[in-house]
Amino acid sequence: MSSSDSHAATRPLLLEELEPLATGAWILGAGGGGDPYHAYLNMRELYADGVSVSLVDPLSLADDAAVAVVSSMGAPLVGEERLKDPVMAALAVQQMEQHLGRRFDAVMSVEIGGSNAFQPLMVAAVMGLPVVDADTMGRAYPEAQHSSFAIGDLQPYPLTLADVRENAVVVSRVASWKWMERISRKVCTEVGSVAATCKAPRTGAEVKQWAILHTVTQAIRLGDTVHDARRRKADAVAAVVQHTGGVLLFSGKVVDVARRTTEGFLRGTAKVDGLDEHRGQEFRVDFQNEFTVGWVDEEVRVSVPDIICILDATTGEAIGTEALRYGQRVKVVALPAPAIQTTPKGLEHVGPRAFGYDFDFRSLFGDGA
Amino acid sequence: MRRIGIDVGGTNTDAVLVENEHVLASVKTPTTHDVTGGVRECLRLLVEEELRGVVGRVDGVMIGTTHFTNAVVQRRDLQEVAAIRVGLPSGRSLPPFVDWPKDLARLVKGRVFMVRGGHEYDGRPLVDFDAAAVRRAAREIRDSGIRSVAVTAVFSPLTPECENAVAEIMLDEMPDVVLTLSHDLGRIGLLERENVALLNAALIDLARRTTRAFSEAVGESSVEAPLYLTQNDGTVMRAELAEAFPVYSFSSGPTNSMRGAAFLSGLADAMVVDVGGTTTDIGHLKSGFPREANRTVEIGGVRTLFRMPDLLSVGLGGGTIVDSDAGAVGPVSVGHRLTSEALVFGGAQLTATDIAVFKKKPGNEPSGGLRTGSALAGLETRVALVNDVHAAFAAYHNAVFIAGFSRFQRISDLHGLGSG
Repeated sequence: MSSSDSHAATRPLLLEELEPLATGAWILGAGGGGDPYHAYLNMRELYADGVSVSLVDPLSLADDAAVAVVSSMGAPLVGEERLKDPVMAALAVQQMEQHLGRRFDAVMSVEIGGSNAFQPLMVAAVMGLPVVDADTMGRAYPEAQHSSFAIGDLQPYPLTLADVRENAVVVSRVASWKWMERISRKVCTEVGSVAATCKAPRTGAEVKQWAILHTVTQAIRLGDTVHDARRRKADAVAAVVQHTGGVLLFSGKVVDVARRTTEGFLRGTAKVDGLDEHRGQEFRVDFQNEFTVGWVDEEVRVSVPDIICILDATTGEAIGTEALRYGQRVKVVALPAPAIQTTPKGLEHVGPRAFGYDFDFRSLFGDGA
Repeated sequence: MRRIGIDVGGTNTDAVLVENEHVLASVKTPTTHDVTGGVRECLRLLVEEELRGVVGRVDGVMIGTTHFTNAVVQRRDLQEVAAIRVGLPSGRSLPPFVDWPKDLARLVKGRVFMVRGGHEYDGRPLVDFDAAAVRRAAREIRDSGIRSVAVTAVFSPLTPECENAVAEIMLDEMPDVVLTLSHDLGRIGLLERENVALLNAALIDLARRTTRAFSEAVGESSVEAPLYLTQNDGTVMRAELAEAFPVYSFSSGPTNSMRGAAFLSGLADAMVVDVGGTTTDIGHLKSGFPREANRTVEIGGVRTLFRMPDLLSVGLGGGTIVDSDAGAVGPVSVGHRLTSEALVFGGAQLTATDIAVFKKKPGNEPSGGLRTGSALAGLETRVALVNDVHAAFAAYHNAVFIAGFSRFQRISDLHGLGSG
């Protein structure tokens, strides 16, 4: 597809793009965000029923357009039993419309990484809205204050949260993005650790200034790249690195994984023993839902906000932090962080210090990449 | 301790009498179309021919069979199933059978009911259980003539209450119903657990017929011993249990050979390559048992998640058909018709076995019950052809084993076994 196509104001999202979107979004999940399988399955079923959604270029949004920002919040494990549902996804948005007393013009995802890449698609399918080709993280992150709208100091409220029993909560005012995270997380836990949310509504102008643009298209192309490499029996990981301008950090096999669930997050450390050109070396990576910092032989090699991905060495399929296991043969790659996250203000929100590490961010891709 | 072990493969049925660590006798017969004929013949050979009727006390007969997994893969002998899922209002958009291959769903999918109920991960009810809706479903199922029902409730591996309540209502309305409750079979992962329950329910009649026929075969012989079926994990279960849970025997064929390899070699940690009549299976023994796959396993195109050996299975075995015109090898096999259809047995079909025999040079007398005379003479006329095919065959063969070994090599490395 040529670049002019992707910048047409609105275009239909094709059935054939759903599977690449799932593959690409799972890679951009940086180990978190949840496997998009159920969300993808929902969309495939909707398309089979004749429903389709369209993708709108954020740059074509009117300044006063009303944009819903959506996510599914909760623990991936719960999502394995309480399956994603488009009607439930839309419930939070309908609740927000009722609260605001006005309709939305479009819907976008809080994060392109993992299953939330599909959340706006499901809402769009139910409500007949276009999906904005953008998100607020360019990947997955664990908390509300990690979004680019938080970096932009935009207003964090109101938020609506809905669960499948038609419980709905409006968080009408909070003191900060961190308070929004704490309060909404508590409500989410009470309804069984899975809920659909609609974050603070945004104007078209805010989206154009602060969102991370064209990430849906980027995720689809990333997925296409992987599928294409598999079809050609070429090196899928090398294709990912080449396509994204990323770096292959390490090849090896997983030899140790330690996990603990604290404060609603999956935290832990994984170790990878080097193979090939990394034989004799060890890669260690920390995670809090997503991969945060990676060391090679005890020296920091990569950190947030650069996107750390652990991929199956053969298929290029992303491996989530919950699915890492002893003996997997993997390749670790780093993809460049969205520019806004490497600014001083961005690093306050998503740099290593924001995740409790006592060192400064050094990009693998040069400053201001 | 004396035991009889019988392996019912797609091509051959093999049986051994084992006393403690020693194999006293072994026999091999072609698998019959009705499956149990081979078992009957094996028992007869073992008792009459090998032991001249003096079998003595036997503590158990263990049968391993690929019959159930073949039924799913080959889409045969499956029955229509009703699905009851307890979990509304959750999961409405992804109903039972949602990601099944269409041809398989057409055979198995009967009535589907989704009702309110289920639990949270912490044991709280999701919503009140809708017993009235289950009772309505039970009556509809009864009137529809469907006899096998799979029941799945949200978070049932942690709180099986709703599935048990459905079972009670079903049995009340329909005393002869056969139930598969998902919490008996799987772990967290609603769709995958439900898929396993549905497959199990689809195999119930076949499992009954098969295990009862096995029991009869044993009963007709002079062997008096309880009957067991081998399970996916390398252990055995009583035949009565196998009747209710055929999915536990899905992988018992390759698991049998892996346990057998451990027994014969005395090795607890090894890679095992099982060259069968239809497929070659490569697996990894860890402490004497097959290492389990720790992820979703597709069976006949259906996503499942339960204890299965981690196997690499390729469509290349002794009966694999070699198409010399197209230069293609497999995956179709002549299966149990090897001894009538393969060239070396006087048939007209070029198979992997013919290539293997010919490789030993046509002048050499092949061992065993091969009809060597005219059949092999016929083979000689195909020398050039076979040589060509042999090159292609060898390349394919190498690629298969390199793929298999490289997959398991990392595991062996970790266990300090060295690499192959």
